[in-house]
Amino acid sequence: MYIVVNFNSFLLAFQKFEDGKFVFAGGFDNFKQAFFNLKNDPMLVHAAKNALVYFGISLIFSTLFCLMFSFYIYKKKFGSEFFKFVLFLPSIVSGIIMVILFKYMADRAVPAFIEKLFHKQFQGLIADPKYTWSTIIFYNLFMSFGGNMLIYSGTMKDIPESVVEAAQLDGITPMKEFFYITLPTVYPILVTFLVAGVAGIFTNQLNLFSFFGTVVDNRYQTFGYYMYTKMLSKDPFSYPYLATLSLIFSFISIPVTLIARKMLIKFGPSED
Amino acid sequence: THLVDTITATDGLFDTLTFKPATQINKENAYELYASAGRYYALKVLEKILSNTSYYDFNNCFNNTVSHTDAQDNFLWGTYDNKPVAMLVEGSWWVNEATATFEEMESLNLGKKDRRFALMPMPKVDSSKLGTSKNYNAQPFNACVNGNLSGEKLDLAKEFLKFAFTEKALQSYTIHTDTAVAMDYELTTEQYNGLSTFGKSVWDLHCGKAGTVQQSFVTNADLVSKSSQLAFVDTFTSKIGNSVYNVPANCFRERLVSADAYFKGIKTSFSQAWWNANILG
Repeated sequence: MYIVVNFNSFLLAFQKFEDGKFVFAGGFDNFKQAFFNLKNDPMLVHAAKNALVYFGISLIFSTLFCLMFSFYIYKKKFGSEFFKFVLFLPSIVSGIIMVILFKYMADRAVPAFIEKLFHKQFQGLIADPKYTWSTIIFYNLFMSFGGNMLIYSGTMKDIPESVVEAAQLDGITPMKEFFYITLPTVYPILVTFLVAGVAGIFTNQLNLFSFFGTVVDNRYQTFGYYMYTKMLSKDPFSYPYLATLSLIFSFISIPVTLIARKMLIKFGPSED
Repeated sequence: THLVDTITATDGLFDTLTFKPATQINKENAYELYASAGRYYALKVLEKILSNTSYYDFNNCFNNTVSHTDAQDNFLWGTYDNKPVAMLVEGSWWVNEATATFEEMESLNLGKKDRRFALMPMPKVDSSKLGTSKNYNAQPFNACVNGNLSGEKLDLAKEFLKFAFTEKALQSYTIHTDTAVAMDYELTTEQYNGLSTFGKSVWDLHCGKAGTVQQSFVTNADLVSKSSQLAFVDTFTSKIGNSVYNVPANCFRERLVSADAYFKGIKTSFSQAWWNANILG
């Protein structure tokens, strides 16, 4: 299925653009260029680091806070309906509009507040390089929070009431209920998110294009953004190179994803 | 252009540079142009501007919510708002982009015809360069005809294109936009006098009275095929040790590296090995 859908990418990796059309290059020149750049191109080196950093942070954030918060909403604690609405709202508003709203808040509203309250000049959460990267990460975590939370809490609702009641009669605490009843139920969903997150290392743009357009400081670069902006140049000469990079990323992410999934299923909790 | 060989630190804005001997640039060694003196001077000027928050607009210069049209508005409204802005770095098209703002200001007698703007050429590096020719960048433009046309329609399309580039059409373009097309044509004295102050300064540049227009596109077929690798926006990537930077303004603002180190890092980034792998390969 993967090969059929990406057949053209496979072919493109062995081609070059010449005289207005793609022709077979008859070698692995594209791969040589791709491997050279993966090792030496600063953009790609930074992209690798940033992608892994974001994956690590989102792993902790998604598995810890998102699950905890979903459990809070599932238990219908104070304000749960309000939180559900507020956290899911960004997921239904257009992504670019959310970024624009966030940028105005971060770089206009926040500096205005700080100047008014503390009489200090502040460039903005995005404009000030001390906070740019953490602001971008925060924004992306916040945007993913709502969708994940909704799916988790929806799955938690499928837990039979009788099981929970029986456990409560036996004196189970909320934390034990979470670890022994709730988590095993949502674990398959969690595995899906984690596995998708591994694949996302090579595709996630972190909304950088929406924030910065085609020029972003190298420090915030990701693979997804790098590929997207190169493709945006509409330069057919670069398409074989991009196709080659995609293939290399696939060859890396497919086994990693499959191994991750196998390990998570093998060593994770089960409903039994 | 001069190719920088070494940088010797001295006093002043620019250090002393030693240049390479005159070098024939070809496909094999064109990477050497990344070490052109012009890049070095540009970095030094940028470093100077960002060395002090009084030299630039601290709140707006790096603010992602401030667009180029906001910058134009700040420039136009500056005097009126008692926040004067000395100059605006823009292309000759900017007055047309700011038309809405000019119209808004007409009631205050600050409209397009009431203002005295002009284009100032980039200053020279030092006094020894005064009097030498100035260069102005002309962005490439394209005219397209639908590839599916044929017969009479194709002929008409071509005729229209020819018409668009007749002397009269080009003059009309300049009169109405205060900008010039990068073609050789003339304005009558009456037409020239009808231009705004800004339009006259643009026309003076166009005619070469104040400088030389340089085209900024590549015709070499080999380099055209690598245009995405040679995108200008990526050509200020600097490798210094294990760190890599691509936005010099951020580096200088945060005092991460000096302009000298940044320039040397550009030469490291765009080495012969990189050139061989990405351009010649």
